[in-house]
Amino acid sequence: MRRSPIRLLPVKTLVYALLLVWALLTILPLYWVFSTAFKSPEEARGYPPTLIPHSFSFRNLVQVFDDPQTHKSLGFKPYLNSLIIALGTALLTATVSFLAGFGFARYRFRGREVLLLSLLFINMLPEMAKMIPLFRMFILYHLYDTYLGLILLLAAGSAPFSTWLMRGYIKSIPQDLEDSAVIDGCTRGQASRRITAPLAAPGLAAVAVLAFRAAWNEFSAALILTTSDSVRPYTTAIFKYVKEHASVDWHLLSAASFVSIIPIVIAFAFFQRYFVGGLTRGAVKD
Amino acid sequence: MGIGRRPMVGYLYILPLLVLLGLLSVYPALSVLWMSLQSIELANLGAAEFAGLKNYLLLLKSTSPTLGEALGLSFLFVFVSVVFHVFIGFSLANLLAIPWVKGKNAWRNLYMISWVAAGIVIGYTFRFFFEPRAGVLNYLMRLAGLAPRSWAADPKLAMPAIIIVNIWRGVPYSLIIETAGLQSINTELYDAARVDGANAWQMLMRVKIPIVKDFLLLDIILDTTDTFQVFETILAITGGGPLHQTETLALYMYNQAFRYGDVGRGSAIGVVLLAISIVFAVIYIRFFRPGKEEL
Amino acid sequence: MKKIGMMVFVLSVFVSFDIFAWGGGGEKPITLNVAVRDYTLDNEPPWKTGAAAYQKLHPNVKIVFEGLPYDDMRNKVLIAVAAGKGPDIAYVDCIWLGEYASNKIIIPVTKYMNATPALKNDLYSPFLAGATWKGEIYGPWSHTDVRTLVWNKDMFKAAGLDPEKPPTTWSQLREYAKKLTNPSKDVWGFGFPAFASEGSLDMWYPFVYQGGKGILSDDFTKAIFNQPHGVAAMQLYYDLMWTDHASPTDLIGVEEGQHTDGFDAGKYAMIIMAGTNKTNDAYADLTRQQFEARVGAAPYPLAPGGKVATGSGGWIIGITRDAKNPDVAWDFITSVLKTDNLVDFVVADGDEATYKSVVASPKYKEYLPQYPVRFGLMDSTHFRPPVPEYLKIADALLNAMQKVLTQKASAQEALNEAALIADSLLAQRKW
Repeated sequence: MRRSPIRLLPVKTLVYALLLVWALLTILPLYWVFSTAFKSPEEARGYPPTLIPHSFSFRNLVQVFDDPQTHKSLGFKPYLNSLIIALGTALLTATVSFLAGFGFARYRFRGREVLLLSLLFINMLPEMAKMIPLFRMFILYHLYDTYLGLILLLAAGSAPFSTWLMRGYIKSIPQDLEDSAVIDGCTRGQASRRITAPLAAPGLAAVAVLAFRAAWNEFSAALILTTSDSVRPYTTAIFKYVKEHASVDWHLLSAASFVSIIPIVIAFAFFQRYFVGGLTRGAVKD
Repeated sequence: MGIGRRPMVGYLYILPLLVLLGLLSVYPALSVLWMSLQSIELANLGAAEFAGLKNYLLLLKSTSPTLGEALGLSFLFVFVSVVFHVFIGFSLANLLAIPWVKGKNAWRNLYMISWVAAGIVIGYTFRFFFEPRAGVLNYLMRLAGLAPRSWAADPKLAMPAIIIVNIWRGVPYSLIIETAGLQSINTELYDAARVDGANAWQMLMRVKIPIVKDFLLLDIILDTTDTFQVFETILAITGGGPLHQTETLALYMYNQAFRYGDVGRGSAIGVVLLAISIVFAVIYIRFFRPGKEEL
Repeated sequence: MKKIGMMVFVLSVFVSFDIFAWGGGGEKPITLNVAVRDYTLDNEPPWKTGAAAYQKLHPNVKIVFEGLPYDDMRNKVLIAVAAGKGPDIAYVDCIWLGEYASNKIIIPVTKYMNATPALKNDLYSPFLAGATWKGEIYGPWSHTDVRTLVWNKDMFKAAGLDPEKPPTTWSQLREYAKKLTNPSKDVWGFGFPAFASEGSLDMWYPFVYQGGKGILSDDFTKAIFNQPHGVAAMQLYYDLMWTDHASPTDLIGVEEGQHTDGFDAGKYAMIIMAGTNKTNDAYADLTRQQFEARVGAAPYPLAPGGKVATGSGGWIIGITRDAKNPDVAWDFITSVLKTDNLVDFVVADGDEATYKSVVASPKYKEYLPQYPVRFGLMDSTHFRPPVPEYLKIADALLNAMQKVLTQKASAQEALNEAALIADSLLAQRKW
C-alpha cells in the first residue's frame, strides 16, 4: 500500500489522541485518589481540589496500618488474610484444574462431553444467588468465618474456566512425550507429573494468576461468609473501616484505597503475560 | 488415545473437580430453589418452615421497591453497560490492531488497571470522585461553568453515575476478547479486500465484523452475566439508594436477606437472578457448543 | 432432604460435644460467654471491673468477653444461636427486641426482674416498657442516648438571637433557622439527618411523638404515622428545606457522621442529634463548662398544642436461649449493674444512664453536659416500635421522607404509601 505521509499524519494523530483519551479517563480517578492519599486532612477536603499535594506526607499511609492514638487503622492483618486466601485459592485451583484438565484431555470416558459442557454452564451460575444457601451451609458445617471455607468456595468459582484452559494447554502438548516416558518405565501418573506438568507450566501460571486476582479482589462471599478480624480479607475490612471511621475522611479513605490497589497492580505488571494470555485463550477456547 | 490408558482412570483425575463443584456450586444453586419455598429468617435459620410460594407472592406484591422496578433497573444497568463495553472495547481493539501503532502492550496494560483493581476499591475511588464538595467531577463542572451536582445522592443522577463507573471498569475485559477476535482474522483476507479497493469502513463492515461477530456475541453474553452480578461498586457508591434508584437485583437480594433478615425472600430473589443467568447460559452453550471433534 | 438430614446430624454431633465440654452447674467450672459492644470494653468499667469482682466471689465462673461492632452485634449472635453456639449473654439493640423475642433468641427474664426489685424500680419507667415485649421483660438496660435539639451559641449571637434561648415552638424553629441561614457562605439554620439510614427517622420521630401518638398503633398492628401528627412533622421538614430555604437541599446525601461534623464546623447552627457531641474531636480540649458556653441542648421545639417528647435508643442486656446457666448469667448481670460501676462506665464512655440512682449521683451530674435538660427528658422518652418488621417499615418510611424532600410526593401522599406497606407487613406478622 502506498500512502503519502501527508495523508497518514492526521490519521495517526487521531488514533493516538483516541488512545490517549481513554488512557487519561482510566488514570484520572485513580490519580486523584493516589494524590489525595498524600494530602493533609484539610487539603483533602478543601476546595478547590489541588492537583499536586501541597502538604505531601506519608502520614495517612502510616495511619492506615498503625494508629495508636485514635485506633482508626486498618492494620496489616487484612492484607495478610487476603494473601493467605488468594494463595490458597490459586494453589487449589491450579491443582484441581490441572488434574481435571489432564483427565479431560487424555482420557475418553463416558459422560465426558456432557461434563465439559456442564462446566461452561456452571461457570455462568451467579455467585450471588448461591450465597444464601452457602451461608447456611457454612454455618452448619463450621466453614463459616474460616480461611478454608473461602478458599474452597473461591477455588470452586475459578475451577470451571481454569479446567477448560488447562485442558486446552494439555491438548496442545503432544502425548507422544508421555507415551515414551511410560515405555521408559514411568507410570502414567509419574509421566503426567514429570513430563506434562512442566510443559503446561505457562497454562498453570495463567490459571494461578487469574484465580489469585479473583480471590484477592473478591468481596461478596467474604462479606457474607466471614465476620472476624482474624479471617476477614482487606476488601471487606476496608468496607468496614470506611463505614466505621473513614466515611467522610477522604484522606484516610484515599490512603486505604492506595495501599489496596498498589500490590495487585505490581503483581499484574510482573505477570501481565499470563493474565492476558489466560483471558485471551479463554475467549478463543482451543 | 495413547497406549495403556484405561478410561476409568480419567474419572479419578476429574474427581476433585466434581466434588468441589458439586458441593460448592451445584448444591447451593439447587438449594436456593428449596430455600425460596421456606419461611426463613436470619433469626430462625435453624427452624425454617415450608411456606410454599409465599415468598414469591410477597415478592410480587412488594412495593419498596417492586420486583418490576428492581428488574427494570438491573436490565437498564446491564444493557447500557454492555453496549458501551462492547463498543469501546471493540474500538480500542481496532485501534490497537493497526500495524503502525506503537507500544501496543503498554497501552493495553494501562487500560487493564481498571480491571485489575478490586471492585470495592474502585467503588470508593469513584465515591470520592463524585463527592459533592471536594470531588473532582464537581470541580470540573465548575470549571466548565456548570452547576455542581450531588451525583450519588440525586435520584436522577445516581444510576447514570454507577453506570459510568461500571463502563469504566468493564472495558478492558471486552478489549481482550475483541483483540483475540481480531487476531483470529487471517491477514490474507485484509489483503484480498484491499486489492478489491475496499475502504476502512467497508473493511470493517464486510471483513472484520462478520468474522469477529462470534467474539462480539461471546463478549456480550459473558459480560451480561457478569454485569448482572455487579455488587460491591454499587454498594460502595450508593448502597442501592437514593430512593432505591440503584438497587439492582444483587443488592436487592443482599438487602432483603442480610440487612432485613428475610432469608426466604432473599432466596426468591436469588432464584430470579439464577433464572436470568440460566437463560444466558443456555444461549451461550447453544451458540458456542464446541463440535464433537473439539470435545 | 437427605443432605439436610446429614447436616442436622453433623450439627447435633458438634452440639453434643459442646454440652459435654461445658458441664453442668454447681461447683463445677462454668464459663459465661458475654457478647457486648466493642467500645464498652475500651474502659475497665462496667464489664471488666464487674467480671473481676464477680470472679473473686465465684472462682468457679470463668467470664469470656467478645466485643462486637454494630452490624456484627446482630449478625454474629443470630448466626451463633442458629448453630446452637450462641453466647450466654448478648447486647440487644432495643429495636431488635421483638425479632429476638419472637424467635426465642433471648429468653424472658421477668421472673428474675421481679425477684430483683431494687434493679427493676431503679429503671425509668419508659425504659422498663422499652425492654418489654408481649408482657415479658427481656433484660435490664446497659446505657442509652437521648435525642435533643443542639444549637451553636456563637452563631445565635452573631445573628442577633439570644444565645441562651433556643426555639421552643415549630414556628420559632423556622423563624430562627431562617435568620441563621446564609447560603452564600454555605451556612444553614437547621440541619436534620435525611440520609438513607434508619438513624434519620430516629431523629425525626420526636416531632411525631409530640402529637401524643406514636409511629404504630399501641398494639403494633397498624401504621398511624400518616395521621395528622405524622404528616405535620414531615411537612415541617419540607417547609424548612423548600419553603424557608433554611436547610440545604442536599441533606439526603449527607451521612450521619457528616451531619454532626457539619455542626461542629459551624455549617449548621442547629441540629438534632442523639446523645452529646461533647466527645467529638472539635471539643476535645474543653471542660464541660466551656463546652456548655458554646453548645446548648434543649428539648425538640414543640408542635402547636403538642407535648414534650423525645426518643431514645440503647442496649438491653439479654440472656440467650443457649445459656446453659441462666441463673448464673442473671446473677452476673445484676452484679455488674451496681450503681457505682455504672456511673464510672457512662462517665468514662460518654453515654447516658437509664437508672435513677445513676442519674442522681453527683459524679454523673458533674460529668453530663446539659444535665438539667437531659435529666428532665428521661420520663418523656419514647422508643421505636420493637416489632420484628420494624427495619422494613423504617425502610418504607425513609423512602417516604426522601420522596417528600426531593419533591416527588406530598407529605400526606408519601406517608400514606409507606403506611400501606407497613400495614401489609404487619398483617403477615407471626408473633
